[in-house]
Amino acid sequence: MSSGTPTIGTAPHQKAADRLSAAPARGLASSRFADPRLRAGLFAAGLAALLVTPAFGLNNSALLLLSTVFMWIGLTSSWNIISGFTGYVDFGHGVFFGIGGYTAGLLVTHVDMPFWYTVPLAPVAGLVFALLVGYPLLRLRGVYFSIAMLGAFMAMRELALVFRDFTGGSGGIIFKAVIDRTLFYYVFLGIAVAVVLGTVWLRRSQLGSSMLAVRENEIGAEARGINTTAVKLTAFCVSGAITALIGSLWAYQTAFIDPAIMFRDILLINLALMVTLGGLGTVWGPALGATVFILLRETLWGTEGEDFLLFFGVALIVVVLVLPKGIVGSLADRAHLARARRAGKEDGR
Amino acid sequence: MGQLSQVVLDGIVLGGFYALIAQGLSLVFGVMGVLNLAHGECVLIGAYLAWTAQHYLGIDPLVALPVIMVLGFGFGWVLCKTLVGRVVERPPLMSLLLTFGIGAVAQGVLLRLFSSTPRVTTTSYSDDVVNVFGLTIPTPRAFMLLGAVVILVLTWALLNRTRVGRSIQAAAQNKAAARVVGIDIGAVYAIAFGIGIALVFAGGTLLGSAQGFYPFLGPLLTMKAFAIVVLGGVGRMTGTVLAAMVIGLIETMLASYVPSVGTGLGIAAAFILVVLVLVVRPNGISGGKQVTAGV
Amino acid sequence: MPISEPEAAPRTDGAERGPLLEVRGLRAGYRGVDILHGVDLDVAEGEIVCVVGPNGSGKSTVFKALYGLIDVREGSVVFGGEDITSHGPQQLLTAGIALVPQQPAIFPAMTVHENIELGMYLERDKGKIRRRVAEVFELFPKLAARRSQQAGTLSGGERRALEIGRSLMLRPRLVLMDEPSVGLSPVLVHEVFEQLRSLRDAAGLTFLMIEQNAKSGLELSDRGYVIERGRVTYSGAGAELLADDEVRRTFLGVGKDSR
Repeated sequence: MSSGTPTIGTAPHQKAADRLSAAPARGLASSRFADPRLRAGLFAAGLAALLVTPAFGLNNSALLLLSTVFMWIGLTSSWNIISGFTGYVDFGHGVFFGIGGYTAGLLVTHVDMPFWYTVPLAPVAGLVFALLVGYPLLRLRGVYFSIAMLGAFMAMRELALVFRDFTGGSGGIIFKAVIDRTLFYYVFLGIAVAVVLGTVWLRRSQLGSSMLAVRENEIGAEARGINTTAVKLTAFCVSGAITALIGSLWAYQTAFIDPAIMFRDILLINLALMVTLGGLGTVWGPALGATVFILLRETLWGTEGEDFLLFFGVALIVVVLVLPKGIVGSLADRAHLARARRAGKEDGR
Repeated sequence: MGQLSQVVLDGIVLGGFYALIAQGLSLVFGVMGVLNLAHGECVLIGAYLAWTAQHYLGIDPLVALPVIMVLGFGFGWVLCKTLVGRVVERPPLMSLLLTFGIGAVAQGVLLRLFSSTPRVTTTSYSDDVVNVFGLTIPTPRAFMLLGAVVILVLTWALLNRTRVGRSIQAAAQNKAAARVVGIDIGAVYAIAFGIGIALVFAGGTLLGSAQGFYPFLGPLLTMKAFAIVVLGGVGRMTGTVLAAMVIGLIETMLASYVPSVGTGLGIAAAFILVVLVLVVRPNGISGGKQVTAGV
Repeated sequence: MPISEPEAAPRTDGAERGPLLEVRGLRAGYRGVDILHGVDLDVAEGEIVCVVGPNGSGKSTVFKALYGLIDVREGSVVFGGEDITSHGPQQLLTAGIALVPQQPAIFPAMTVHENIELGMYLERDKGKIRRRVAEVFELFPKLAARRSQQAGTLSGGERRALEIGRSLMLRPRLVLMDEPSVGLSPVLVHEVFEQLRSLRDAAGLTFLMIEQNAKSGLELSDRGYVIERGRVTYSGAGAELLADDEVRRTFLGVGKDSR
């Protein structure tokens, strides 16, 4: 009996759909943008332009906006190392920002150390904290780690608030103000470039592959001889140290810290939002998400108004529902899907 | 020693409230695998509803409680059908981000409507106290404990003695199996989420007349509920109640016995306890796998 | 209720009497990528039919498409004259089709008894449920002996029996099974298939199963379909397919040991 006789060929409307979706994706996959030399060239040109920008007499607010973008590129890209690459999503990453700021602030007030001496110590403090907290918490899977880090964040804020003899409590710490927008522009630009290039390198390195292996299948990675504990801790420490460094610089730029601003909830939402928007776990997604988000916010929103919580909350919900893989992830997906469709079509003939 | 027994009693009262809100979180997490980061904000919505009912309509919170719980169920049901239900099957990050966003929106709305000024729902018995064996509890706090106990017992009965409860348990234990016997998983999610939110709305209502609350309190409550769920083990009601008592006791003891800084250390203490427990048992105190929704 | 005609269990062609389940030109897949390119299947009342195919051939997709887990883009599924294309589990159960999925489908923290009861979740009449539970325990005496034991403590074979027993609670006419042999030792696989045959003989049940383990799947069923790259390439009596050189060479040689 021939009930199983297959029909030959594909349905007409499917062919049309394939043609439609395959064409632009093929263009993307084989576009000149994929040429690494061109990409490097574009990157260098852009960097050069950014390096000379301050010389063209930009006003302070424009410089501040740009350095804010750079700072966020540094923050999002470093957060991406632990949350995106190893898949251990750190929902309390702001704790490192606060630790960086407080390391600087406490050293300046208690030891009377010149600020620039404290800068290298902030990432060390972040690293030590990452080791102490990461060792127990990185044994937790999935959401447990995420919310435990949120707990670490809230606990540290509470401690900063409660031990007021040491930290100044809610009164905070005031530094001697150094207002030099150009200086911070270059500092944050340098950090952003370093972190992004570092991420590019990491993604291609053995260590980076191990991180992705942990994300995809931790037990399998362990079975293949990867020391997953070491890999996770390394990612966490690097990520935390960079964020602490940025926190200390931000504190210096702002010249005032207190628990409410150094341990801001909004920082956590911002991180999650920007990275998700750009593409969690991708190399360029966090930088792209930070840039797009801050520029959008500036044009659409002006400054952080009183309803910023509403705004961020709604934005986060929309991104999760509409663009869960982010800009970079969705583009890569579309190219992948188009390849699968083409392959399926050839298969069907 | 009189002082100690008073502190223990206060801890138990607080623990009762924590058990109520932690059970809501635990139920939702056990059934859907979604850790609701907007949980604390939902407690506050309940508190503000009761405050509004009392302030503008003069309705006693205890009278409003059943209505508020029904509203909570409806709110949770709608929230699940429109937003949370869409991310259940996705990677856990998505539901974390989504509920994080919902929490931010809720906080923003509460700030808009009620400002950041702390509120207390005043009642005719706000200043009364109840005497038990020479110890005193403010009447609103006594009602908080009593309400929590009654609601938890009813929840236990619902989960263990009804067809709906059976379907919730089934979905928590094995979704594929629940599907093939004809259980509508989407409906179970919405019902479980609805029950979870009804519980926290109730918690908020009871809390609101016992102490002050303000919009920024949300994440703190979420963290406490989470700490309790981790300590007690997901989906175990007895574990949850015990862990809630432990957290409540630690908090009142710190406040009474640690001079000057003790009152502010609730989260840090709970967090350190959670870390210690997780170091020893990565799956919580009870250690086993999560298989039940509410027992 | 099914009419019990064990003697008439056809070894040749079920379509003569009008098939119970009729799948025509099924196209389905994920996110616009078709996995099935027009699959036709027939299952007659009282038959045990097995769908086999190598990994990635699309045989699991057949199951998912029947079960309403993925969208059917084209084609139809007709059961007892009723169009059930893209119906979900609830509608399938009401129509008279029970499902036994591939992944473990027991409720580990409930007792065996409670598990069986849940097979009639859609029925509210408690007396009816009690009677059916008794019937199922009669068919599966080994389960009856463990009725108040937690299902999580059962062995692999017992779990499979529990899943099958539970699927009979609503007295289905057709049982869809996804890889019943997964995770079972060869002896147990044989036992499970024997059980299916005796259920067919005793209650006139019809089985359609998807099997990775092609050899035992075809050996123990009446008819088989071989699916490759999303199409049916061979069909016929199980024994004939097993004897067919072409099938052996292109497929079974590979499929025999891979589970």
